[in-house]
Amino acid sequence: MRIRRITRFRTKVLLSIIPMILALCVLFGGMSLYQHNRLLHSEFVKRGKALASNLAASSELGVFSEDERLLNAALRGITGEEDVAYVLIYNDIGKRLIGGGKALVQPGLTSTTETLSPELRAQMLTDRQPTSTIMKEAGTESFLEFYAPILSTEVRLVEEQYFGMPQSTRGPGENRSRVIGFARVGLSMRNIDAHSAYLIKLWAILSVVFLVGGALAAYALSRRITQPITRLTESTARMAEGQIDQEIPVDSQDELGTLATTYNEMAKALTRTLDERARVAIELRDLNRHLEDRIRERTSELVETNRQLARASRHKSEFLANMSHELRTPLNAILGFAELIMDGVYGTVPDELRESIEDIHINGRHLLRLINDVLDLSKIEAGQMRLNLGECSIQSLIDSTISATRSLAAEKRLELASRVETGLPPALSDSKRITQVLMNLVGNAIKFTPRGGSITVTARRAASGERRAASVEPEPPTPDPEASDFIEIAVADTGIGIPAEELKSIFAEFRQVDSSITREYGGSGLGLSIAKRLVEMHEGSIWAESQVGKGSIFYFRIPLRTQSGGSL
Amino acid sequence: MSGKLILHVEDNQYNRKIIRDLLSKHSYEIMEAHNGEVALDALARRRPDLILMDVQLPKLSGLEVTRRVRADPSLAQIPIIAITSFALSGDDRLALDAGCNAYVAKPFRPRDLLEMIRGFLGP
Ligand SMILES: Nc1ncnc2c1ncn2[C@@H]1O[C@H](COP(=O)(O)OP(=O)(O)OP(=O)(O)O)[C@@H](O)[C@H]1O
Ligand SMILES: [Mg+2]
Repeated sequence: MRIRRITRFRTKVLLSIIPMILALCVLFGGMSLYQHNRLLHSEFVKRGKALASNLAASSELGVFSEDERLLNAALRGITGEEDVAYVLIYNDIGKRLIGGGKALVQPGLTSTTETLSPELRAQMLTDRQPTSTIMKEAGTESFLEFYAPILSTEVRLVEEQYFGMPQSTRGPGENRSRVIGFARVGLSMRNIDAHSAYLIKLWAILSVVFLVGGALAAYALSRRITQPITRLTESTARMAEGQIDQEIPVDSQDELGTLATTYNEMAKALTRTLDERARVAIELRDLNRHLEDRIRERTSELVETNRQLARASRHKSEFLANMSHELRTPLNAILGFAELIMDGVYGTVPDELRESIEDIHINGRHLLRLINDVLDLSKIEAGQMRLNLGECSIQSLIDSTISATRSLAAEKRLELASRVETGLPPALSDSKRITQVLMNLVGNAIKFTPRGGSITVTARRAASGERRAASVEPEPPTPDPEASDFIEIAVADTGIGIPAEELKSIFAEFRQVDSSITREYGGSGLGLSIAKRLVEMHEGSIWAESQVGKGSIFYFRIPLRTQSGGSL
Repeated sequence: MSGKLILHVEDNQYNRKIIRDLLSKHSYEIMEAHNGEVALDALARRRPDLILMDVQLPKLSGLEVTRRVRADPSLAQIPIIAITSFALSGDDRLALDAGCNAYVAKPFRPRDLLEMIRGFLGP
């Protein structure tokens, strides 16, 4: 499309230039032709007139004497001249004296050549001017005729003598002359016409040559303009297709040349910019690759480290599991024998032995619990403890806890009661682990409540975000805002209580309010930390409220979820 | 005093002795096996009235022995009490699934076990 427009531009140039050349040729050619023709004609006329005057002069004597020989001689002097077609000489009354020349026999001429027309004669007699011209057509040829009066000076003197003609207005030289005849010269127009025709032909040929030359020049010129533009256009098109590195030849110093130079500079600048960009892109890619390599390296290192850690952790928990089994087996045997002895399987135990056997038994059980607790804790820590989730009734969990601890409570004469809200829905939880938590809390309550006190286990449904009016810090964190409801279990006692500053730290491992407690009550300080972790595995929370000397309440909440809706 | 025959499958000799001392004191007849294969041999020779099965056994596990007993029509009706480990959660469930009638978790009180046995065999 661009190419076509440029072609049209070329045609436009041609169309505008050719008429101009044409007009110039016609105008100038025509004008000069006209001028030339006029000049030629006037020269021709002058020559004709001169020839006629010459003839008149040279034939004066012949006319005067009417001597044919003299007249012929005068004629001969002129008939050889170029273009002279015919020559005639008349006497003063217009009678033909002699004629000559190639064209004298031309038809149509002969009839008029015998006598000279009286008007002509009269005109020449009065103004005595040497020449006048008349066009004569004879067949295909045309002629110009020239007349000249033949004057005689000698005869005039005689005439003056005879007639005494007054000469008022005439000059002294002319006064003396008298018209004795007329010379008539016919010049053929053939040559001059041929010359004219030749000129016209020349003009036509030149016009054509100029036209063609002009057209060619215009074409070349327009090509000189359109070609760089075409090149520019094509180059731009290529550039648009992505070949940025373009250079077009600069073959002139004009605006187009400047345009080409500027274009080349632009292309170069563009190439440079793109190169730079490509270079930066490559650098960036290299950098990226380097980074990726580093990341991959690091990732694989991490994966390897992770694998090693996982293996180490697996080894650790396997070791712990094995070790606890190995520890427990003989311990179980020790406890078993102690119990058999105490049960009297081996006969009645003497009183002095009984207490020592019981000490063996108590310490053995303590050791066993310690082993179990450490194992549980390490399992939780290693992420190896899996919850065995199921929907279970909190009521039945509390009931079984209470029945398991009833005898212990009874030994200390403690009142042990439970109050479970009616219509409590079953909670999605690991019943064994929740029981473990309950056992820990109730076990602590029994342990830290003096004889005659009371312990109450309650369970209720609580809305999330609800704060208990009696709540002292720490406030339970809300573990999951999505779970709208919790089951909240509280174990309250009337025991020794816990100082406020200790309320948080008692959930840490091996943490006991005062080391004398260990001696007095036994225990290792792992119970609450295990309970806390188990509750947190249920996405629940645990906290305590207490007043020293009055008693403590341990709370824990687990979110109420159903098997289908829960994400535990 | 019944004189009923009880098969005790247990790899630890002291644990075997505890049960033996306890049960013989209460006039039960004891048959012992220290692994699963020996237990199956013993079962082929004599049909006990009850089996005490430790779940964790070398070679053939207690659970596998239980399944084989249940698969044998002549033995299928024998009550089996599994002895599991409290620390290994899930053992109790597995034991009941394999066909045990009841379980006691170590450490257990000999008295509690005796009561459970009496529950199956009568006083
Ligand atoms: N009901 C309670 N009344 C008063 N103090 C308590 C009560 N429960 C726990 N404590 C304090 O918190 C400490 C940590 O309790 P935790 O159950 O973790 O350990 P422990 O009972 O001493 O030992 P373990 O439970 O391992 O046998 C206790 O030693 C005691 O000082
Ligand atoms: Mg405790």
